[in-house]
Amino acid sequence: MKKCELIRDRIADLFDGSLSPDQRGKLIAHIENCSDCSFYYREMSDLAGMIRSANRPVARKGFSESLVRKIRDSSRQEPSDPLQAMKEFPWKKVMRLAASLLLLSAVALAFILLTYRSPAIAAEKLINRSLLAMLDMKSVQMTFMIRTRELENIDFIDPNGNFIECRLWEAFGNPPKWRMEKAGRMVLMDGKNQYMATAGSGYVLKGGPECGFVNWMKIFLDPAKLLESEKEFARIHGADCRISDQDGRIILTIKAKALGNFSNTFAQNSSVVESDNTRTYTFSKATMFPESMEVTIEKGKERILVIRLEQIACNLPIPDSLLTFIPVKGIPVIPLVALDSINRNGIKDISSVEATRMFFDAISNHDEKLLGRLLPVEALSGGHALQAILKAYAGIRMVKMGKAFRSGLYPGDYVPYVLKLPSGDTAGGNLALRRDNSSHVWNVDGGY
Amino acid sequence: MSGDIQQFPQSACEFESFVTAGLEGFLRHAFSLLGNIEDAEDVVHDVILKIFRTRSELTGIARPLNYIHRMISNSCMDLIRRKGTRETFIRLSLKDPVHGFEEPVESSIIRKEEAIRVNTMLENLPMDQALVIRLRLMEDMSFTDIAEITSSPVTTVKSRFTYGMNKLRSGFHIKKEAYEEM
Repeated sequence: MKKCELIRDRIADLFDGSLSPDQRGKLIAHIENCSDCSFYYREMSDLAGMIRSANRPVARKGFSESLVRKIRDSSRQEPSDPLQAMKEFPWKKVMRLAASLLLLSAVALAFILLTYRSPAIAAEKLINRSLLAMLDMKSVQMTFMIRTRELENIDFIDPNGNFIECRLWEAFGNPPKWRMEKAGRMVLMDGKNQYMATAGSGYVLKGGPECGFVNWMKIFLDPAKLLESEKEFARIHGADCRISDQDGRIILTIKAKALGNFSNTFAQNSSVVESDNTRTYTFSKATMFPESMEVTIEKGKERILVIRLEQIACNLPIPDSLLTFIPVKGIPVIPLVALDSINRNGIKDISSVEATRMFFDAISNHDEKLLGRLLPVEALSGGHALQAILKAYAGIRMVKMGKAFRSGLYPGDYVPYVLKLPSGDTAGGNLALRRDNSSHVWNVDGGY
Repeated sequence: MSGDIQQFPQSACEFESFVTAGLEGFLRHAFSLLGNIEDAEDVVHDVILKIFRTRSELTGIARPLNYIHRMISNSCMDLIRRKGTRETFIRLSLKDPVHGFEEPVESSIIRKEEAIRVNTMLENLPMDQALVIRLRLMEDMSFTDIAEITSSPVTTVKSRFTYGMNKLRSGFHIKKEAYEEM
């Protein structure tokens, strides 16, 4: 190879500034004394100058702000960082005072923390990997089997009920569009409003985008958020996390203790969070994508499977018609606010015990109007709940009531009662009432 | 380029400043591979959030900026593979600046024409050569950093730069005689 060719091969280094002054000097000396190399270098320099000043793409307006907002949102969802707080503490001063003692304490503390939290940390890492795999998710479709009752709310779980299929479709976006369905009930969010239709009802109920038609089941609308919440749960509540490897799948098992303040254990074992439970997630080892999930409630030695995610598919096309609200002729759409403005006079400022008495009186007297006032608006859609209650309790008479109590995480009261049945037998139970509604009146919410 | 910050900032506030400072560069990098500002924004957005969410696991990364650029390169290549095609970004015109581009730096028509020619010719280069040239000359990255980002040896990066520049040079048909007359 000629000297000039060798020199030209090294001219790239002149654009990098990585040469030593000596090397650079030798190169420049040759270029200055060689017309061919000089010409070559000037052409390259001109070209580089043109490229440097060529048009550059710029972000669209709002891109940077949107990204910063996402970072802040993401940050808000993170649990507070104890390490950051430690960093901000004036450790140096403390160290000067008690260096050796602190060192010993720190080592001991680190050992305890690592030993205690390592399963949670492993679970967190696993979940993080799965979250990364889910970043490109544009839509999701799921099929669940849930122990519940037909016609009940979509989020209702009955550990003694049969498995009923519940399906979910969601197109992510801002706002998202989704649909949940089970036998006899459908909730649709079309991006603007939520609509709830119940089989046999005479109308469709319409609520705002954040309305609680699917209640806690909303967590399934965002698989990433579900996993994030598991991460937080493992971290905060110190759940027992185990990770195993089976046939190309990674299985994460989270054993959690019942949450809630059980001054009375009535509500214990009545829902997932108020029961000792096990949540089992299966991830594909190849893609780290979640493949299935099961929730088991544990009552003593009894283990009851209540939720089983049977299928999850991502980024499959979802027909627009499935996520669009199409009014049906003859079936009116009633805004939730209109139903909520039902005359609540006469049931405001009363105790839950008084509301219980009114409830059973309304049944005994077949007073549909009063009964309607005591039921949550969602339950009134179609009136089937009202009729079902009147039918189930037909002929009963209230014998006595106990003192109202609270239990577990339930946001309302339970009122014990004893009824005389038409057969002459007596039966007792606890009526659940809550008043966390916009009218702040007691609504009968169920009970056992 | 990667000398200032030696570790991923852990607090949201510091991370935000760190990312904002390099954002235009990340975007240009993604754009040079994808040729489309919308896709480039999507890739940069996803990469940054992905890194933010896992930053506590990235404390061992010595050169965060290079790491981000490497992730951008990989994500862009994944996207190109998924889409099976790459859009061309020769959409500049003298009359109608295209959305997503800043106005040409130089105001004279000649410089505008040159800018268009440069972008057109870069677009016609093999992608790996054009990327090295853009990162070196537009982002002022060293060959060592580019090698790290593209997971290639430094010698390969230099070769790509030289080959690419030589092709651009021939394309420009700049005659030796023109210089000799000066």
